[in-house]
Amino acid sequence: MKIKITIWHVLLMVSLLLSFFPLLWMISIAFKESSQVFSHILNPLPVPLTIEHFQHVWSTVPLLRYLGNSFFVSSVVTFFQLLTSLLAAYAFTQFQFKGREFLFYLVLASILIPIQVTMLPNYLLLSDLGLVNTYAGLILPQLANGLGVFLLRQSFRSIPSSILESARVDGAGDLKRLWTIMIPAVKPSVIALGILFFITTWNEYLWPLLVINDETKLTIPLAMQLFISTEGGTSWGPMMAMALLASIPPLVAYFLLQKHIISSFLHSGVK
Amino acid sequence: MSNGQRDIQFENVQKCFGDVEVISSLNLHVKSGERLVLLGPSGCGKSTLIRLIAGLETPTSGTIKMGGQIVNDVDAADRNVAMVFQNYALYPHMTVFDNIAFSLKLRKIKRSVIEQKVKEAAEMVAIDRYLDRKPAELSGGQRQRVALARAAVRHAPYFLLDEPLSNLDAILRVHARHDLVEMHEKLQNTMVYVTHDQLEAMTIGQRIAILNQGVLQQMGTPEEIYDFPANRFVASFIGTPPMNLLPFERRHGQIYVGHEPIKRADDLSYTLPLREIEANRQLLLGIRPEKIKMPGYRRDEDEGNRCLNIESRFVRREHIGAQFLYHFKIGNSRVLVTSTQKMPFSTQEKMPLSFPLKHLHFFNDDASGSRLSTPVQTEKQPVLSMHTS
Repeated sequence: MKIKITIWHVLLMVSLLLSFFPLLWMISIAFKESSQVFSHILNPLPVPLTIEHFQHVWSTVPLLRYLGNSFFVSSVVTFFQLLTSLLAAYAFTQFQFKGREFLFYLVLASILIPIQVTMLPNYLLLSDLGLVNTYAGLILPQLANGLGVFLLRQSFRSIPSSILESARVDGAGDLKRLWTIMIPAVKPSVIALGILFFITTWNEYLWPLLVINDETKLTIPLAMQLFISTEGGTSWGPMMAMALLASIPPLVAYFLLQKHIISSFLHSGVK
Repeated sequence: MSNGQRDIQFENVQKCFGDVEVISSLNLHVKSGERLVLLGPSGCGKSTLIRLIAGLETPTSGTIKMGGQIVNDVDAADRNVAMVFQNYALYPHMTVFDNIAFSLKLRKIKRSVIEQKVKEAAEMVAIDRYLDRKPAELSGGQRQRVALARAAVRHAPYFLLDEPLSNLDAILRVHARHDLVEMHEKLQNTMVYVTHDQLEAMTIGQRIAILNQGVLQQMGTPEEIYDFPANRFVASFIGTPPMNLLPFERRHGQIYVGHEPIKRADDLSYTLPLREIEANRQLLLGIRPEKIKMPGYRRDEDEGNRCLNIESRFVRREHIGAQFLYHFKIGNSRVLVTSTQKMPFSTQEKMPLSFPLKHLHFFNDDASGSRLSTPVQTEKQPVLSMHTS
């Protein structure tokens, strides 16, 4: 038994190292001198330590502007995805109507369709509408998310129907019930989903790459390609420094809200 | 809606879930300000009925009127009813205060008024010390009282309770029963109370409506229902232990009870219209366990009353607190007798049991099981509301 656990531990540690290596490597390169980036040995320790790449990033690109762009786009997308998911999940759990199951499976199916399938029609449509190279064009196709509808529907179904009926008898209409009873009851799920949406949008690359050309409107992942030169190679140091800076906001958001999630789990729970 | 008009009227109400008919053509009138108890076994449709009143279900056909207005299409949120659910349905993320205040806040009532009303409601059921707690931190009895306070705080004209005491232990249940009745005396709203517990029904209800398989069996005061059950179902459902029901038959001028011939049955011809038993009809004779007299009983006010004496065998005796429960056999039928007296019978001992004629009930032994009126009882028999379908 003891041996078995040890083997598992070793396996776990190896997989942990493998998944953490790119992250460590990013941090390491961000602090290394340019000459050390490609050395003979795989040395993860940045000796001597330097912050020249950060200074370089700061002086060459409008970093705050890009962070702001990303923050704006991610926030708006997260807000609307949560809103539409909550409303749709409410309808799927609280209303009886013809074709409800069919519609729900249609929503589920939308999760399975990759962006590569939808990006061309979406792009052509936006182009016709004159929305290419605008935030509206970037955000509009992302206002709903099938995964959110699915997960929130599951959460809503765990709320005892008598609680909702009680609220109804107390005089609460549909929106009141959603806002005052259902959302608080599944608060941890809503927060977790919000984080997921935010991080996904923050990291998005392909769709913004298609829609945004204007250098002032770039989001962080797009801005990083500014350091990839098609002619003279890639400035790995500044790029990693920027990647490091770009990954801080979602991490902070995650850690702040993670506390929330845990406390929500401890203090509520439908009983 | 004026205070005088708080009655609830069901007119030919039918409710189906898919192909299953849960309530069939029901006519029912709940008077303004009364405490009506809906009583019946599980699955008899009583919860569906109260949900129809609340507006949580809509009738398949028929009309429901509240305060004279047809409410079939009025949403639950607009019916002005307060309801207590079986599992209390407290809002888990709100404090006790917020739970009670919820319906008032929805009505945009001033904060100071809300605080005053919540305090009053909480004091009425003695939970004012727990206003800051969440439901999860309360015991079952406390939660039940929060649910009561939450429903009472609005002073809604209609007060619906769906088995609100069934999750409490026996002692708490007695207290809660008192609380409820006293609360209703203060609020004077129209109260409909659903239960499967006949003791709750008898103690809480000013009137009781008994349902079975979606059909109203009888409606009346607890006394009427106990003394004059409208049919076999009501007779066997009300009373602990329930009424004894024995096969009763007249063949070739001979009367049989529990398939045993009765020697002297002359008196019985007074009790029962002769034409009813001449057709060789299968009947059931009913008598409450406490009305049967065993040999050696104390002669009291029943003295001089005519009795039907039937030979029986003693089986055993049980002690059930305030009284003793005696098991007898008449033919193959078991007869239960309750008495406060401890009798020294021995097993298989044969003895006559006396059934006072004025306490006999007769029912048709068919699907309806309906009651036959007897001359002795018609003198004081009230009008019975027999089921209609």
